[in-house]
Amino acid sequence: MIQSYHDTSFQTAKFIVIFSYFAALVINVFAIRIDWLLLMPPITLLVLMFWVVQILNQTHLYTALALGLLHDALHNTLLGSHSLLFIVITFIMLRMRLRFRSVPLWQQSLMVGIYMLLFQTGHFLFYTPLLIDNALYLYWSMPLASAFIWPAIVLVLGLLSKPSLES
Amino acid sequence: MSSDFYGQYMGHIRNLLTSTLEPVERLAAIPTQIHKWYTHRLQDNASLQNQLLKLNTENLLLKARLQRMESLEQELERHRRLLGTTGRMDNQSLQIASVLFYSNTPLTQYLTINKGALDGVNLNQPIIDDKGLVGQVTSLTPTASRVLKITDPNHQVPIRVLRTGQRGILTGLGQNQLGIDFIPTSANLQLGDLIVTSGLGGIFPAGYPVATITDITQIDGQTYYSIKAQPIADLFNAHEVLILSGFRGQP
Repeated sequence: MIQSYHDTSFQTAKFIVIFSYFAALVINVFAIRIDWLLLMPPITLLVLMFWVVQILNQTHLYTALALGLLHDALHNTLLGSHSLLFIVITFIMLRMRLRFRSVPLWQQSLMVGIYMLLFQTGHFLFYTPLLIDNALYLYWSMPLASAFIWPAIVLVLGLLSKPSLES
Repeated sequence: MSSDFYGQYMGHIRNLLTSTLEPVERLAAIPTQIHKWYTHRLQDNASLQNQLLKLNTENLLLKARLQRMESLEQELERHRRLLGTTGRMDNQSLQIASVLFYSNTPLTQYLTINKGALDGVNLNQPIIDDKGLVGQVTSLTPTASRVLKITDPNHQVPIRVLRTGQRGILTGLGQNQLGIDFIPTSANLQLGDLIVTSGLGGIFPAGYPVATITDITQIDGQTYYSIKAQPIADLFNAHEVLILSGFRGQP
């Protein structure tokens, strides 16, 4: 079992949860300015996935809805479309979270990569973005990038949420 | 999703979400601003003096051209009166805005500028830079506006080819590319032809440069050309833009 996960509740770690969503949103907003950061996954979704696994007494579906709406506003897409994708991925994670937190980190990364591939496929079918030259490779490299980013998210947020659990 | 797609009823909610994102956008822009500030600090006096000299020269040339344009406007107005047409010269006003943030993804291409509803900006107002058309205001917050760039896949502009007057529709293709639709294969087109706004539809005033033609393909059996174009405006590096108002169709 991964040491970074602790049974915690939203109340004990609420400031870290809110701050982590805010920081993730800032990173995503920063990334949409730069061409090659097309491979950057939606960090807010990765952070949401972490909290889904970490905080077991909540479903996080409303959070998925709210974060999805913010992504819709950010990307100028149909309101609710990102929310739908976020909710689908959150729901899959909800079904799997107990099994997910019991596997080694590398295996979690692999699973996150698969979830994000699912997300990206849905994203591609929904929005049919025009991908020219390098954009095509960058766009479809996103699940791989997610798999690499996941351990960092688990370690950082696991470390940050630990003191709040003990307090 | 349905109400947003079919009815545009969700405009207020979108504006609310955009307002929520505004401080996040400002925060995300800080690293770039620090980088710009640092680069600016590194410039020596000599290069700044050179830049000043260049700008002074450019200013002088522009003033000379403006004088000529004013006389041409008066002459055109006089000719219109003589011809008895109902047309009138537009009395456009300009407002300068700074670019706060921009998006550069295949999904959407927009700018966020530092003028909003409190500054008198309205929806659909056209935005230009010193070279040509940039886009139009699609979303407003009290202190900022979001401008959909002409390269956005959801953006279209009625245009005409300056050399021949042939009309068409310019569509954004994303990633700094444009396509031109509805130009028949019988039309006279050349690579490098300048595309300007036609003024049809009342959103964009006529005569502003938009793009140059970079590729013309005739597909067998098709009645229209497949045309690619390159925007003239500096869509990715512009720091300051102009908001146009006061022409027909605009408040």
